[in-house]
Amino acid sequence: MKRIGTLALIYFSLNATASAETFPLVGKSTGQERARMVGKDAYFNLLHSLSGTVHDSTLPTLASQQATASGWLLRDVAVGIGFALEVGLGPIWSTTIAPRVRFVFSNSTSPTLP
Amino acid sequence: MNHKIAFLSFCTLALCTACGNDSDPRSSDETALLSAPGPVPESWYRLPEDGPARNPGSLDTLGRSFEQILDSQAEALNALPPSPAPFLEAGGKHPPDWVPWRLALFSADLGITSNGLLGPLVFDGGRAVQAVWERKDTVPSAEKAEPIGFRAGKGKSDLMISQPLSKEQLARRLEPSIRAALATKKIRNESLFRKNVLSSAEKFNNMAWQLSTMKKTGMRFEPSGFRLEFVFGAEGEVSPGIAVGGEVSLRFDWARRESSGSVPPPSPGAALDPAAQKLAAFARGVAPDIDAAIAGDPFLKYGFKFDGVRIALGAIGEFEFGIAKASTQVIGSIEFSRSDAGGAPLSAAPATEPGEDVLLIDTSPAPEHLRYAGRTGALVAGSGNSGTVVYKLKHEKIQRGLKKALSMGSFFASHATAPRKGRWWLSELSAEYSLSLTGEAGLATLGGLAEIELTFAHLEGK
Repeated sequence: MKRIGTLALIYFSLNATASAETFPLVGKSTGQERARMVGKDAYFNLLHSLSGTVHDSTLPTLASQQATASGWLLRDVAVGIGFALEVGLGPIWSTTIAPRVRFVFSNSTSPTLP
Repeated sequence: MNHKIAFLSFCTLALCTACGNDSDPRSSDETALLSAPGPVPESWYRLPEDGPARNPGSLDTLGRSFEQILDSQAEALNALPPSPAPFLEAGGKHPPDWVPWRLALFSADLGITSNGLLGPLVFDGGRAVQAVWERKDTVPSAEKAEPIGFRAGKGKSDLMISQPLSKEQLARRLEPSIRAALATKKIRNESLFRKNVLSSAEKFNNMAWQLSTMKKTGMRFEPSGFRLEFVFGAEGEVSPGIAVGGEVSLRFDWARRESSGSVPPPSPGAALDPAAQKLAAFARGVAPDIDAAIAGDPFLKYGFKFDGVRIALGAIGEFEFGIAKASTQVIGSIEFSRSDAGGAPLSAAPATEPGEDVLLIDTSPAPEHLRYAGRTGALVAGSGNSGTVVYKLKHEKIQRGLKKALSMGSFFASHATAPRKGRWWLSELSAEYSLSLTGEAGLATLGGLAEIELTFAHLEGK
């Protein structure tokens, strides 16, 4: 009886640990609600790759934008992510899906989400 | 640098309580996840008229799961290289608030499925780049002051004002949007279109002025933003509402700014404009409810500041404003922010006489909602030929709904307080809530998914 109790304790401890380190990605794909568990590390790797790519490719482009004499000034740019979830994770589903995140670049001290 | 973190809970009260879910909520992917960690209590996203909530959820595991998501996002941002100082724009004059380009904000959405699973929201398909341009030299100096309260609603605005403008100023500001609309070839009668755009803007101007006069009325929450959409048909005819296709829609925004002294009316008849008076009456009726609901300031202990509430507007007749029941029925919004700029903790709200009931406007009521209203005795105040149903809500019901929305917000705030080292911090946490006929509130769902938006800001960005 005591052994069963110990096994149950180990089982629930492992289960609790696993729960704390994972969470679902949720969304819709081809009209269907979906959810798929990912580990915290995998999600971090995905976001890290995405943010690095967007950061390194967007900033030089914006910085090279010449101030024109048109009277208009570009202040905030939001870049949404729209490529496959294959970075670090492999395809989650068969279709192309992406985390719904936005990176807002600004040359203003008061940036806003467009 | 202001290190105070703002909690932003815009209660778009009544954004879609029962939008049809076009999918089987228990798809094969999700069936395997029924025992996944952290189901959200069903009562948080299911309203009484949509059926009884059964799953009580698990707040402990939900909180842990939420923290894991926040940690992952903050760590990913902190791993980015520091802002590249050498990147400078070449040439040209810059406004005073100009700084070199940098990554300033990061925004991510969390979704809640029909089964209560909370996680980062993903979507299929691409997303366009959005850019905000600003005129360099034509913005009046008075408008360069910081806006009061939280930011205006998202999306492009065709007219943004912070103080009443003359007819000539309005016409000048609107000209780019008018030309853009005409270029779509959807408008056949240009002269009537121009006339109606201008008259709509003048009406909006009057409404904004009425709201701006409510600054010194002793309310702790005052209107700080207002948005209204106008739809124009092919012949230039106008109505407030949502474009359903084929029409041209223009969006007008007002944001309160600090100004010295009283603001003069835009025209001699502005104070008598019925639409402006009705909007002011609606605002005066709802502001005390927000005050009563937030008393005690539950967010301060978590390091967050409650900034305000955004309420989705619907209308019947000639600008009889009420709360819109569903997102497809929203014609605009009104925002309320703290009049003291969020200084001291809010104590109990002063007692006020309850005003007239607040209208909850549903232009396409679901049959089950009508049946529920009939069973529970929720008063249906009107039902026109168009099928529009208007419920009247007592102020105590509005307050109860707000309190429930705030308690859900405080749960997430309580799990967002863990110190996270680095240059990126969660600066805003916002969610939209639906309001039930009974006064209950739940996280608003669209197509079965409720959403919570997280925004991280760069601490060294300013």
